[in-house]
Amino acid sequence: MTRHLTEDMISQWVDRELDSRQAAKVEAHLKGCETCQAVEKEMSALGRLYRTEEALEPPPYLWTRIAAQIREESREEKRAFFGIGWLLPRAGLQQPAWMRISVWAPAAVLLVVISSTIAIMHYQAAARAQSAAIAEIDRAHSALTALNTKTYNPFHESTAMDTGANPFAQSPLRDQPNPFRNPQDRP
Amino acid sequence: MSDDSKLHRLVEEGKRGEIAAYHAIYKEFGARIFNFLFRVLSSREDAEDVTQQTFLIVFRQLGTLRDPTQLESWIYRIARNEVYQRFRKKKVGSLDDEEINGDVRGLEEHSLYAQPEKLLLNEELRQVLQAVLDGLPVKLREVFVLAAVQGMSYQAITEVVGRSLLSVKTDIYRARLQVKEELRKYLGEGFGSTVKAETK
Repeated sequence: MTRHLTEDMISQWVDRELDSRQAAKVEAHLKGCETCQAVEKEMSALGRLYRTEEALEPPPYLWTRIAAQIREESREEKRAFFGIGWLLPRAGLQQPAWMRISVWAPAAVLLVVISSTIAIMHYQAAARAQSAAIAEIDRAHSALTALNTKTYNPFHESTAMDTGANPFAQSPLRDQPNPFRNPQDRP
Repeated sequence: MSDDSKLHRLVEEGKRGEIAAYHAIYKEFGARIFNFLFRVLSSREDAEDVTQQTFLIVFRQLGTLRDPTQLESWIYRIARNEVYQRFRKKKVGSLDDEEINGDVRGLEEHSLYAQPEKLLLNEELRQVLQAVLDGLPVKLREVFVLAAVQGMSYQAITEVVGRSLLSVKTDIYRARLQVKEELRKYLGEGFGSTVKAETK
């Protein structure tokens, strides 16, 4: 026997990782070399020693714990976004992490919906009041115009002293008799 | 039904959220993952926690798995990532590629030089075996467990650990050498002859 096998090669032989040509070469060498046989035995024994304890079984409650967690997550997904979160995995899509925040996400949506509804209702009420005011002004304008087309000037800026601006006056006050004066007291 | 078509069916059913498929996947790979984690983490409790976490991630992200034939190596990759995250959080265990921790924790407590055949399968031997593994850097420990203990092919290991075939080969060899040397100290030289051959 000329040279011993390298431990690297024996390691690969033990793991059955050599190709058939190399494996045949190692096998032939091992048959006639006690030194390499001893190394091979030790290397093989390592795996056997650890595998002897490979009978470790995970405890039965481990699956129970995993299954309970899956069911809990599944329930949360169903709640998330009113069922959309539950549909995603079934459509072959991965549920984004933010959707798993199933408590906050629907609450946020609800908040947006409520505040939007209030804002829209407020806007609609303001619009209705504005329309009613404009209609009332139009109605008053039409009525006053019809009452006195000559004296009524909607563009005239009236003052307290400006009796002429009184759209209800039939004529200027100076032309009317003073109701507080005795007609016989005329100067 | 072939293994591949069975895996395809399980993955498809799992993607639809069927819990029976999840259970079948767990039954198929749970024990191997648990053993891998137990060997690497050296703690039953930690192995249970990480196994649970691993399968929860697997089931949550099953929809992203395109090739069901890669399911096993994908699960191992997730388990391995969880191991590394756990080490980072706990800041224990060497993640340094080059650091070889020669101090085999707890071995001094065991007087195991004599009569190795009597030690086989007893509690002391179990502790020694685990202490020897703990003495390896995680990088070597994980490939040693996958190759020598779980019998995974080197090619499959490259997919799990994301390193080249050459790097994996070298690491397995280095790990095996170190484990052999450490066990020699406690079981004696030539322990290969005293350990019973595997019965299959």
